[in-house]
Amino acid sequence: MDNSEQDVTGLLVAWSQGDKDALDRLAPLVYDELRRIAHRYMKREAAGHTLQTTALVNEAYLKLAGQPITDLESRKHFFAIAARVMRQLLVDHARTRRSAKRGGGARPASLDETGALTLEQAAGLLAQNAPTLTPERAADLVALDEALFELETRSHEKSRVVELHHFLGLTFDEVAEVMGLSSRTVKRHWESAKAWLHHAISKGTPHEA
Amino acid sequence: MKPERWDEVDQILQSVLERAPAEREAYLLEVCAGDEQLRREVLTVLASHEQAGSFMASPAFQGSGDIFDDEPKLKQGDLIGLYRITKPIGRGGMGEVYLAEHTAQSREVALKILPQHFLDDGQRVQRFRQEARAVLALNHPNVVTVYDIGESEGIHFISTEFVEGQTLRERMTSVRLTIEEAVDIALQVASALAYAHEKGVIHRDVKPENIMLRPDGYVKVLDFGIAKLTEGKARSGTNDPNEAPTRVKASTTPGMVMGTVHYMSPEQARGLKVDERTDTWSLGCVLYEMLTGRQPFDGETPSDVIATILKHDPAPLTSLLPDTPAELEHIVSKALDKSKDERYQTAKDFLADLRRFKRHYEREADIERSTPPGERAQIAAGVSTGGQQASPTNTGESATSTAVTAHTTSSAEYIVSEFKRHRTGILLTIAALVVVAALGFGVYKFFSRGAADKTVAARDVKITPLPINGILANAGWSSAAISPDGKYVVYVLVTHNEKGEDVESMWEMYRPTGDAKQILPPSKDSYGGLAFADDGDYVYYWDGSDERHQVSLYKISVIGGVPKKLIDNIKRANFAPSPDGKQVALLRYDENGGGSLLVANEDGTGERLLVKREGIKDWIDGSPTWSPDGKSIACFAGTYEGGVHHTLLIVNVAEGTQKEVGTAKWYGAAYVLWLHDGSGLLVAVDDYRTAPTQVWYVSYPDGAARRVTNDLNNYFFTSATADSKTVLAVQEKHPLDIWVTPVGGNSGQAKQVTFTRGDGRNGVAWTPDGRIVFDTVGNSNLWVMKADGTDRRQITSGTDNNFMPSVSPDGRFVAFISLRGGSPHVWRIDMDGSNLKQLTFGPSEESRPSITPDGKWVIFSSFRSTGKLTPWKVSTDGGEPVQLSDKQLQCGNASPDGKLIVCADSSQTQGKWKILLLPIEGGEPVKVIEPPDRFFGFPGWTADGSAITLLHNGGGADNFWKLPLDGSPPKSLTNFTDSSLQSTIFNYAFSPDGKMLTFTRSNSTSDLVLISDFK
Repeated sequence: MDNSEQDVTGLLVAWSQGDKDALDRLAPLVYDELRRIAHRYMKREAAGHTLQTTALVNEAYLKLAGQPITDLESRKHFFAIAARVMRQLLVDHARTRRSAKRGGGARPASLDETGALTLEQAAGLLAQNAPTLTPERAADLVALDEALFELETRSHEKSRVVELHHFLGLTFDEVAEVMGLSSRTVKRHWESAKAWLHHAISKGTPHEA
Repeated sequence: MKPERWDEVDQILQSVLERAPAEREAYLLEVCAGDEQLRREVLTVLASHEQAGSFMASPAFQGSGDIFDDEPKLKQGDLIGLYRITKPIGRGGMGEVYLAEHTAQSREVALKILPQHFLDDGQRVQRFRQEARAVLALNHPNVVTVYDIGESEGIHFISTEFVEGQTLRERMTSVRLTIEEAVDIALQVASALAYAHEKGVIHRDVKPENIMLRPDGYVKVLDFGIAKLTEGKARSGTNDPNEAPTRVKASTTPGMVMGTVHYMSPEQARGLKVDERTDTWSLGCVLYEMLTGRQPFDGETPSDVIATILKHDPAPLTSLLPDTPAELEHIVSKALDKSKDERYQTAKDFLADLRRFKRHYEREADIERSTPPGERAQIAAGVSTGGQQASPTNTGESATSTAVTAHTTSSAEYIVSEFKRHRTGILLTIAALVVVAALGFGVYKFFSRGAADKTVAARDVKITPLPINGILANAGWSSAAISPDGKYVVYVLVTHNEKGEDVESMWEMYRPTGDAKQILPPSKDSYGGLAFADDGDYVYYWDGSDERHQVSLYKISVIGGVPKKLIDNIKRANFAPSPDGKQVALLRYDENGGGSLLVANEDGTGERLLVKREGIKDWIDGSPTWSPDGKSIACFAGTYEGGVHHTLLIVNVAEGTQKEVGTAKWYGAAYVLWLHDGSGLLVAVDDYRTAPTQVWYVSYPDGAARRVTNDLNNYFFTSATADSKTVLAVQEKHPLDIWVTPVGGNSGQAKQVTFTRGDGRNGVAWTPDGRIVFDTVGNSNLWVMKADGTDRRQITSGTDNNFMPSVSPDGRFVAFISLRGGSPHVWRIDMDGSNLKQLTFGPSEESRPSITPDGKWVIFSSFRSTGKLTPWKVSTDGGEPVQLSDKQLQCGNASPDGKLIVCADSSQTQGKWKILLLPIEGGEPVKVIEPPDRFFGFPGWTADGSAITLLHNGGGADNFWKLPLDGSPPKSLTNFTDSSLQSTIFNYAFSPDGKMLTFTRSNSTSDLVLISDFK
């Protein structure tokens, strides 16, 4: 790829060197790819299986760059981006859900004149019974996102750990690997981040503690 | 907490957390070494950790199981700001699109939910808002109108015109487009781009997913919403990172899929600054794909695609499509030149080449097919969509093409639009308009609240657009009809001849195939009154010129042939052929108000008067309609007694006896149509002064009335199918918004400042400090805003209709018309919404109040005491009103020196209208001015009082002009030339210093629709 600015690897490098726009350029691509792959996984896997996050992210990279992640730097950056994207995706979702509650939510299904549920209503009821994000949980997620935003100004590393572990679902070992830290350090960051975040959400912003 | 302190606390926190819970307190005490403050800070956060419980115990996506579902996140009934979700209509990786309804305006919109992260930094929100303003100002038939860009509880959204149809992507996956179709679509997209580029907006993401094809052949380009405003002309070659994030914008489009990179220009792919030429590239890609079915640049991964874009030329068109005309091949390769300097430099150039090609291509095709030239061009798009594609209950915005001058019955706008329609000199061409003027200036909400509550709109009514390619003729003369068997639709189209004059032609569409053929060639005459008799073999119509006010009645066979003249040169009237086709009903307005219903033989002989209602207080109105058995005729009886209102009148043809049907009363009445099955009648009526003309169903003989449509459009109709299930109607939209321009300004300087499509319906006014007071549509209230449209604040409240504002010279209060007392009277209110006071009383109707420069009087027009509209004044403190003249006049405002009042005299039924200047004390006019041809609108004053201001239509655009009182030639005050501004201007006001002008403009559009399931 002679135009290194354009391909995914190039963008990763640009981003790691502080080019904010590179992330902007990458994020939508990653976002869409993750969503598609994840959706496919969800359909394929029986309920209850957790997502094989690393596999998913690796696959997304493969699709985007046309080659597997080989060097460590790219891997590191790409996972960070995937985690960021996942966070955005989940929080966007939560925000919409939360507002749905305030808007009065779905209308109750009503029987038509023949006394039968229409297909659409039946589908609606089924969907409602699926494990979906409740408005309460959605509100929590939005609050967490805001607290995490604050935490990021204090410790970039901590917020990365939270994104990778909590939003992307990597194990601590995997987080350690992609961040190039020891597992112990990751765990330490995680525990204190959890304390700061919970404190911020229940009391105020972290730095006002 | 300082960063160092935070780090210190965190360090300790981390080490504490590594210890077993039981050891933590002791450890903390030790490590803090007497720093009690530090210990407490750590302890607080530590406590949070201990209370955290299940907080973040499982990954965030667990419990968000639906995140990867394709289930839409919002459901029917959810509210986002003022929008109520109807249903999801699409989604992409980056956002969802819903059909939604504006809760206050019952307008259907497409609501796009933007991903949060797109806007999560303040700088970008700022940039986005800047761009939004430019996008909101776009107004072009091929650009999807953006209504609103907003945010509600953290959700950012864009509401746009809802377009029925399919995307070009959908079309291409189902059918292979012909060369004609591909070129036609590319033409319309190029037209949209050329317009947007002129306005400084680059699309940046032209692709088949963003191109909507409407069933009527119109192409609409979506998602200018994410285009970035270009600052002036391109500063070439800069690689400023702030200019570069083109891919961000392109990629963040809702609907973004991996394929999006396929349409990126080389400079866009390189992350360089882009300009108009990036859009012409993308359109070139789209055209290539339409023609060949293949994308010009492809690859396994986005990176590969980008490499191809940068390095390789696409396969020649002829290798994939051997018959490609050389000219088209040239056009495509020019659009896809990798060097942007060699590419089409503007979308306009691209457009011109496409047009030229289309002409040549069609001429050749026409010769081959031995069909007369010219026709195909007009019907191509209509035919290509193949008949009507049902799109259920589209009552929303599916506007066609550019402005057709509005016909609105029973309102002041009627006069304005009639002025404009009859551009040749104009005035109220027929006596009817005296009546209409009376209605327009009278204001009354007659029907009781109780009656209104009962009239719920039919829930299942279906309104389906009928694909017509072109601009419909003025709906006011019923320019379309459906045959009784429902197979034919005949309609009148307006086009332009070589001189740029309006010409009308008549067309017939055979609905089963969608084929349209011209049955009458373009002519400067007007055609109207289209109707079928029951056998459906003939179409009846008028042919007449505006100048003569005389028309001839013709009929023409639906199979074609020579029209047969039935009645020669009679005074224009509304008419209807009897079911057996042997007689016609004629409804004629009389010179002095009033009107007559007559019947005559088909050839005009044996004319017989059935009903005559005389004088200014009683009249007869509407398009007459025959009962199925031919024994009765229905029309409207109008009266001023007890406030302007209309009732449905049934007249027995043999005996001439008349009876009113039902108790429903409407403020304005336009059309009535007796259904063939005799079950009832459909009427097109206005509820009250500020209401649109809507469809009601009146069952027969009991007369129970029920509203059928419930939107902000106007409807007009004259025909239904024999099974009484389907009515053909003209659906007319005239969204109104407020614009501001410096006096002397050109099209580029005129700025649209409101975007609700319902502002300034009956009036706009300036405050001394440069703000604008205006009214709204529907249940109108008065509002005030800054001249740039910001800081919008409501002055009046309630649902009683408050409109026609005039601001006092000191800016302290507003005089206006309100229905809060039942009938329309002059009221005043302080600018802050306090001190509401009624100024006029009694059984009367007032309109157009205007405060004099000394702030002591309110001038207004009123029906009081005489029953005709005359000028009056009342003290701003209230008291007994004083009549200024007993002449029938519509009065405007007082001159800046407060000595004269400008009035319009349109009582003459023939000849020209006049402007009269009355002394403020009342009495005889001191000056009478006859405006030259092509002048129209409400007269006002220039700031120095030396001239009268008016509107003038010429050169394809409306402009403000002044007529100097010293008799020197008229001078233009604005230089609008842009054809997109070729639309109807309703209300206007000059700022007190005379430097600024605000006006209400409507881009009216008319569509043919089929209304069904209304019973």
